[in-house]
Order: sequence, then C-alpha cells, then structure tokens
Amino acid sequence: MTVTIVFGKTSDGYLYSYDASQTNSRNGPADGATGGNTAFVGRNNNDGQYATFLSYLGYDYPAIPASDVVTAAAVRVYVYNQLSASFAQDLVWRGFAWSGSGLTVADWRNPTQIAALRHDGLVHMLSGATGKTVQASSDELLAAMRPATSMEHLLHTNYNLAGAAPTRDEAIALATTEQAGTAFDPMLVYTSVTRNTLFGVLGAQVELSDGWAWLESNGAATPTITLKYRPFGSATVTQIATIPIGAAVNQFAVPAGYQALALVADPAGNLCVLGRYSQAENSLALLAFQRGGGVTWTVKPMRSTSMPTYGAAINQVVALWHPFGSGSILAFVGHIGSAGDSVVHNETQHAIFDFAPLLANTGNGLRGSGNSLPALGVVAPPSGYFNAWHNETGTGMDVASPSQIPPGSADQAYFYSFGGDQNLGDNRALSEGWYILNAASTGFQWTKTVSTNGYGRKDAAGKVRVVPVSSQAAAFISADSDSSWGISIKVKNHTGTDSTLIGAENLSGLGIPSMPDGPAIAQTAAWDAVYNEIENAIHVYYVDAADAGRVRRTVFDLNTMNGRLNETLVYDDAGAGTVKAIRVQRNSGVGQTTLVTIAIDTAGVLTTQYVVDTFNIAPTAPTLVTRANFDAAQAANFDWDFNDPNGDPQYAYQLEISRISDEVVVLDTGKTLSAVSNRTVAGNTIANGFDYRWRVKAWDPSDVESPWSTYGTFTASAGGTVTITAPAVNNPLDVITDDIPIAWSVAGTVQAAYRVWLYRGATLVSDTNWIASGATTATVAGMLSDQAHEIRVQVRNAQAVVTNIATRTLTPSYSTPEKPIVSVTPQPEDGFALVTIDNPTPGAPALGIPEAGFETGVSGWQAGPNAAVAAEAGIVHRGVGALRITSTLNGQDPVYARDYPNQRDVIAGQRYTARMWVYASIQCNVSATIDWSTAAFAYLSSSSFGTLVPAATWTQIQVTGTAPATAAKAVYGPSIAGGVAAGTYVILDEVTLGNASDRPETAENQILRRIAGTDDAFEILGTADPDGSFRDYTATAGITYEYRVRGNA
Amino acid sequence: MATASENARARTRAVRDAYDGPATVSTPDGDVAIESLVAHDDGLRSRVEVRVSDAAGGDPDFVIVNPPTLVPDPAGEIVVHGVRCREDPLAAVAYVIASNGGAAMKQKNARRGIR
Repeated sequence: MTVTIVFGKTSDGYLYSYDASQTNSRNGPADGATGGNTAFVGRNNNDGQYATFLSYLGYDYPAIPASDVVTAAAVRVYVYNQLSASFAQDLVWRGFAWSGSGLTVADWRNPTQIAALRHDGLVHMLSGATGKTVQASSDELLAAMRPATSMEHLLHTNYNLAGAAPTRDEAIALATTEQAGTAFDPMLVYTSVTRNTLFGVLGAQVELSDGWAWLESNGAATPTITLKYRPFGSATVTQIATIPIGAAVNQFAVPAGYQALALVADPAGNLCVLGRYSQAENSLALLAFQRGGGVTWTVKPMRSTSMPTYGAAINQVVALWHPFGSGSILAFVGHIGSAGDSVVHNETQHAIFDFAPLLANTGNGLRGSGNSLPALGVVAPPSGYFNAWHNETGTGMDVASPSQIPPGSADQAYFYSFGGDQNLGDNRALSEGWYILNAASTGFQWTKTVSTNGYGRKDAAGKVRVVPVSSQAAAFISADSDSSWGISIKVKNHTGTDSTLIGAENLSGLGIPSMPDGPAIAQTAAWDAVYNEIENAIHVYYVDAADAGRVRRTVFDLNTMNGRLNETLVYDDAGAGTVKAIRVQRNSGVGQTTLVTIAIDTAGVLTTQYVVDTFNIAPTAPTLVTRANFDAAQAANFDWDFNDPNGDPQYAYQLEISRISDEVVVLDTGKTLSAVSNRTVAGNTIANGFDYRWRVKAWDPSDVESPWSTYGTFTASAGGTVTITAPAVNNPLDVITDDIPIAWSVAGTVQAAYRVWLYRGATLVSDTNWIASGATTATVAGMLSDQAHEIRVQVRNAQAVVTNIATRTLTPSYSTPEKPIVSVTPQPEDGFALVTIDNPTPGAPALGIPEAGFETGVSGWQAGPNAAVAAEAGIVHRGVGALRITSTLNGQDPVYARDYPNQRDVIAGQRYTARMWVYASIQCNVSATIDWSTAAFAYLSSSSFGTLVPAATWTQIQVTGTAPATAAKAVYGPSIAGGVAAGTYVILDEVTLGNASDRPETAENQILRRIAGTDDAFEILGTADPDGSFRDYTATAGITYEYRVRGNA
Repeated sequence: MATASENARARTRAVRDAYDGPATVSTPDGDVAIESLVAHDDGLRSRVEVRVSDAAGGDPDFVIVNPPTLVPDPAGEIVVHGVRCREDPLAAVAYVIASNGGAAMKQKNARRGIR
C-alpha cells in the first residue's frame, strides 16, 4: 500500500508563558505566539522568571476512503537543538484543534486541560535526540485519522504538566514548516489497507487431524467473525462459534491489523483464539474451545493477561501450540508505536501459556512473558531517526516450531518479523530469531539471529512467513520489493546453537510469467506458503499478475533447493473480482491437501472463497513390462507402467539401456516429453550378441520425477527366418479334410521351439503356444469346409529370439454330400424290392457340356463393362488357344467375361463346381464365379471365391456353389477384383462347370430300412451297386417299409 | 506571507517544473530512482505521487503532501536550523523518500552485505 507523508502547515509555531510562579507559567495565559522556523517545547528558569513553551503543529491530508483501515500512523519532528545538556524528558503529542490557520494566545492550555486531550503519541527520554527525527504514535492517533482530513497537535513535555521547578533551560527546539519547506519539517506519516474478509484473521487458520478450522470475517468495519470447521473430503462447514468482537467486557477488540486474531490447535483438536482484549489495549485475550465427540466444541471463559508493550496497543498476534509440558501456547504480539516507545523499547513481546488451565477454566495458564530481546530488539533505528518500531503495520510477523515436524524439538521456535530499523515503505532485511525455551518454559534461555535474512517491505499489507520444512530446518519467506526478487525463500538448518543457510530462491527472478514482480507482491497480502511434506516442497500461492481474479501456485523444491516454473491455476474468479488476500494453515499439514482461503473484493462486495488444493505426490518407480529377447536388427518396443499415487498421467520419461557385461550405456533417451509409456527402439540401434539391462524413470505433470525402475534384462541375437514348405503354395486345391500336415524350413538361427497358429479370418482357431522342439512338421486341425484359413508358423532359438512369422492360406472343401435321389419299386415276381439311387457322377461336367479350351476360338464369350475379350494364342495352358480378358478403364471393378449365349442348365438345390486356369499380367485377386439365372435368363445371384493370383503364373482357381431355388441356368468365368489399371489382363483356359466334387459316388451310398410307421431304428442293408440299384430280398410281403439312402463322399 | 493555497500552488509548480522524466537522485540515504512523479494541488495542499519501483499500474509507492523544496547543501545560500540549503524541489522529494526507505536496493545491499 502507499505510504503517505504529510508535511506540516506553515501556520505552526509555539506559545510561551512567563511568570515568577512556575504554576502560573504552566497555567498561562500565554504571553505571546511565535511562528518562524522553530518551535520550542519545555520550560526554563531565567533569573527567577519561569517560562513554559508549548508547540502547535498541524497537517492537512487527503481523505481516507471509508473502505480503508489506517494500520499505521506516526507523527515526526526534527529536534535540531536542545537548550540543556541533557533533556531527559518525554515529548508528548496531544490532539488539539488549535486555530490551525493562525496560532493565537487563546490556544494556550493549562496542565489539567492538556491532560484531558487525546494522547496521540509519546517519545520517552529525549536525551540524545538532537539532530534526529523522533516519531510517535498511538492507537488514538490511528483512530482519529479517519474520517478527518486534518490533524492538529499540541506538543508538551511531561514536566510541562508536573514536577519540581526547573533550575535551568529544559527545552528543545523543533524544526517547523518553512515557507519553502525542508525535510526537517514536521510530518504525519501513515499507511492504510483496504478492508477485506481476511483483514484481522490473516493468520487464523489451522489444520486438525481430520479437517481444518479457521476464523472467517465478513469484512465489516466492526466485523462479524466466526470460528468454523470443515472435515477433509467434505464441503460441509460447521460453525463452531461467533467470536465476541467489540468494546465490552469479554470481547476481543475490533481488529487493528491484518493479523489481529490468531488461532491455535492442539493434536486433540482443542482450539484457542488469541487477540487484543477490548478492555486494555496492551492486554492479550484468549478464548479456548474444547473439542468433544465428533464435530462439537465447548467454549471456555475468555482469559486475558497484560503484555509488556509499554502501554502500546497490540495490533497483531501470531501463536502456535507447543508440545512441551502438557501442551502450551506460544504467542508473539506486535504493537503500534506508542507511549513509552523509544530506542530501547521497540521489540515485540512474547507470552507462554499452559493450555490445560484454559480448557479446564482454572486460569489463563500464563507461564511467563517478556520482550523478544536480544534477538529482535537490538537494532539501530533508521538513519537519522531516534526511535523505531518492529510491527506498527499490524502484519509482517510469523512464528513456527520445529516440533511441527516430528521429531523436531519441542522447546524451540523460529520467529520472523519486520525490522525495527525499517520505516514504513522501507524494503530491508527482516528480523529473524531462533528461540530455545528455558528449563521452566517460562521464557527463552537462548536466542540467536542469523546474518543472512530475507528482505521485505514494511507495508500495511506486507506479509512474512516461517515454515518448518524438517525437524531441524525452516524456510523463511518474505516479499522483497526489489523487482528481481519478489517472494524470497531462505532455508536454514538449525543444529546445536548454530544455523546454516542451505537453500535460497527468489521467485520473481525465475521468470514465472504469472508471478507478480517484487514491487507488486511486497505490497499485498495476496500470497501465502505451506510446506508439502509428501513432496518435500513449499507451495507458494499467489495472485496472478495478469488477472487479479486468479490464484496460482508455484513450487519450491526442497530436494533441489530450486523453484520450479509451475504456475498451476488454483482459483479463477471468472468475474470482476480482485483477490485481496490469501491464507493457508499456519501449522503443518497432516494430509495430502490444504485449504486455500481467498478474500475477494468485487466492486466493494467482500466475499471469501475456499479451495481445497491437493498436494502432488511424486510418481513411484515405473513397473517394467518384461522385454522378451529379440533380434536387434528389428525394431523392438519397450513397455512400462507409469505409477503415480495421485493418478496423474505421465508427463515425460527416460529410458536407459546398457550392456550387462561392461555396463556401457548403449541407449539413453534423456528426458523425453511424452504421455506414452512405451518406446520403440529402431532396428540396429543396439547390437546382437549381448545381454542387456534396461530401466525407466518418469515425470508427472508437475515435473516431479520418479525413482528409476528396477532393471529389466534381455538378450539380443539374430532371429533368422522360417518358411512354410508344405503346403508349398497358397490355396492348394486338394485339401478335403479338416486337418492338414504342414512343414517348414528355418534359416539363420537354430530352432529351439516352434509355435503354430490357425486363423479363420480374424478369429484365432488354435495356438500351440511354444513347443520346445526341433521338429519342423506339425498337423493343423480344426478347419471348416469352404472357409478361408491362415496358418502361421514362428520359430525361436535358445535365447527365445523369434523369427518372422511365415503364413500359408488355404480353404478346405469337405462339406456333407447331398442327399441322394432314391426310388423303391416292388418286384413281386422276383421277390425283392428294387431300390434305385439317382446321383450325378461327382465332378462330371454339368449336363455333359465339355470344358472351354478355346481351341477353336472364343465364340460366345462376352466381356463385362470396360473390358474386352480376344482370342489368345501366345499364352495358353493347354492346346493352342485361350481367351484374353483386358481391362479398358482404370479402376474398373470387376473385370470379367462370360459365355452368355451358352447358358448351362442346372438343377436348383444341386451343387456345382466351376474350375478354370488363369494367367494374370500382374498379381491380382481373381475370383472363380458362377452366375445363377432363371429359365428366363433373369440373373439371381453369384457364387464366387477369390484367390490372390501371382503375376505371370498359370493358377487354377475354382468355386463350388449351390444353385438357388429358382435357378435353371448358369454362366461362369473369372472376375478380376480390386480396380486394376487399364491394360491389365487375365488369360483364361480350360474352363469347366461340373457337378460338385464332393457328391457321393453312387456305389458308396448306404441303403437303410425299417418298418413304416414304427420308431424302430433304421437297419443298414448294404450299399448300392455301381449302377445305382439295390435289391432287397429280405422284404416281407404285406409289410410296408421305409427306405433311406445315405451318401458317403 | 503567502496563503496556504498560494504556497500549495507554488510547491506543486516547483516540483512539476523540476521533473522531466525518470531520474536517479543521490541522497545521503542512497540513490532514489524515480520512475514516475505526478504533482498537483487541490487548492489547499500540494500533492506529489511518486513511484520508485518499476511495477506498472497500482498505487504509488509514496504520496508526499506539501513536499519540501530545500535540501542541505554546504554551498547553499539559504540557512535553515543552522544548515545551509539550496532550493532543489526534485532532490527534496528524493531526500524524503530516501529517509523513508525508498532508496535503491543496490546501494542498501552494499551497506548491509549480501542478503
């Protein structure tokens, strides 16, 4: 916030009163008024004449908005001369509205009147102040700053009111306002903060074993403040109590600073609120809440104790629970500069309480209290100043204990604070202390400050934090207003009676885009920090420099002592709101989350937002998927499982492969940004003939890396090749069973095992798995008739390095024969029943039509669309002629030809086989096809079976199909599929259509019989004669029989 | 004697005339790097808003009401409280800022050692 410096009005001056009686001299009336460059305060004795001098100063200043709280104000004067050798008196400022535009004798006030005036400040024992600026303040001065826009003072010494008569000059000369003005002129200096819902409760948040507790304010001038609780994993908030705020007995004073109220918790969840007591501005009040079962607390009576602030008003309290004794509370208080403050009275104060009496309602439990000397008190005032204060802003103070991280010592505390040598607005090294309690736990037996402190600006909204990061170390965090520093973290290890700086970082210097620069972050309470024990890191929450409605989080890694470049979005107001302050718990966390409390100001409407932020947990070591041995000439995939307790996805990985024999790393991918948890290593990246080990580590999206995985091992060796030698070609025609013997040959490796798969389309029919054997033959079973299958064979060597996979396609044909056509004719004369079977001859040309050998031409054959047919004499399969079918259009599908004028007669329901030899100009898919039509030549459907025909190789293709129900005609021929290029041709020869080859031989038909109308089983009588007949001599007259015939292919 | 209003206008004009852009002013308490300075008066008082940081936007670091115009100078011809002074409105503003902690960090670091 801005520091405003108001110089005095030129109408200031002093009044004097002479009289032979000292009493009359004090009482006045004044004998004269003097302006000019000097004002005197004090008294003298000049030849029996007593003189009393009172000074009168005044200031005009800009109006302070009603939304603002003046958190620090001081009046300053320059003492340029003392009229006595030792002016051991107090200088006192009184609020008095003298005639500010022109001092007159009527402004004189006697001691009684003066004592009744507002007390705006006092500087104790002015001796030694010559040539220095002295300053004073009081709670009354702050209260009077707003809504007034002018401030007028009467200055006197304590001897002006009482005391024995002087024997000499006892006055000082103050510089008053020049017409031109100098820096010696009297000053009124103040700073203010815009009120928000964290004002007064900025440090009042703790984490319990099962949730969080905090103080919540509505941000009003006299705020309503409540104590609340929220369990982990739930958004349900329980209001424990309303905190009494006001001016009455058993109330806390209205907050005078950002950290006016503190909250502590013990491990049992008992709570205690600490703050200035309403009945005495230097008294500390404590209000304990004892936790019962579940989410219940019982409030205890308010207790208070006076703090040794030399009468100054407490404006901030920081406190923590200590495990020593039966449980104690250590509190530090800051105060405004006030009565009694001088060069030796500028320290902060502490108090130690037993918690048990507060909970048991048996007292305030005070064990001891005192000032923070010598650690924080002995500091020189700012240059040219006579006195100073540590914490007149009401913020900028924090305390923590190593005991917050077991097994940290129970009797120690770290303390961090603005310095007494800082003026308002000054960016300077802060005061830092390390305390060890005395044996009785009533005070400190040993304290220490360290030489390397962080810097911070003494600001109305400024903040400092000290966060334990181990049982012996703490991070001291401040906001340095230097633009290249910003949030400054210094980690110090404390052992014995010494401390060592072990890490430091300035976050603004890291170049995090959303991080406000030093000047901005040093003037706001909109940042905070918490230790993440899981990750061993400090999370720093801050308002986004580019969007005041957003809160982000960055990380300082205590493992590396470096800040990361994270800027994780934690909260987005998505509106016109401005984040004014951020708060996390003041004690150490116990879970994997923290509650981030955010004060929002949306055009003067003050609200509070709560965000549960989950700590990141480092990924654990990846789990390797076993890498089989492989041929390093081929690409190989290395696979692993990314493991992250948070469930985060993988952000990056590093794969390392090394030889086992000499540990030489043969592949190191380095950190590779990828969410894919496998890596394909290209062929010939590593060499065959070695045993290797490999490992992986990975990073999560927060750029936190896992440990290395355990090592996986593999061997790289040549894999060789395997070739199926039987069947020697794809689609052999003689497969008429459901099984087939296969054989293969192996080259380039020594077979130690083999594996055979059978696929039907994409369906795996069988898998032998690995069979340790050098055999190169096997039988594949389980094929279905008339369906395409693929046999795959793979071999591996003794190192389990595999060959290629050899394949062979085939389609067996062994379907059930058709039903024979049977008739029975009694032959009574000859004494038998004649059973006649009418079956076509298997494989015989259909209806007696011979094959098309094209020996005499290609008459009748017609090409389909975009194709042409021609007689072929050069390339024939047999004889001297053949038929050439040529595509005349690119991409035509199919390309075909048929002998349409010579449609063949077929019988519906019977099976036919079309066979043909084809010779293709390129490798292409050629289907043997039968087109079925009605007796009126209306096309019905087709039966087709495709074969991949190699280029320039005579290949026999065939198809077997059943004539559909209304079929009476058929044509047949090849069809080239796949959209071949124009000019592609297929030569056709020896085209036949015959009865299906799987029809039964008549002579193999079995004759069965039973008596008609019975349930008797059929009795096999025998088989048919070659002529298709059977004579049943066993039939008995008068009995009706049923006959059946069963064909065997 | 000038009235308060006349005095305010005079001081405002003096500071405004002395400032012609960002400048670094040496003072006994360190160098003050003035990034921006705005001087105006409301008829009653002179008001000078000064930013010594390089942050954009936001509130000024210091507001000085009725700023002085004299600074100590052994060669000065104006004697105030036994101190010779010269009239230097911009330096006077810088002196006030420096005495309130607004001097550049670099110089303070040199005084206090490495932070």
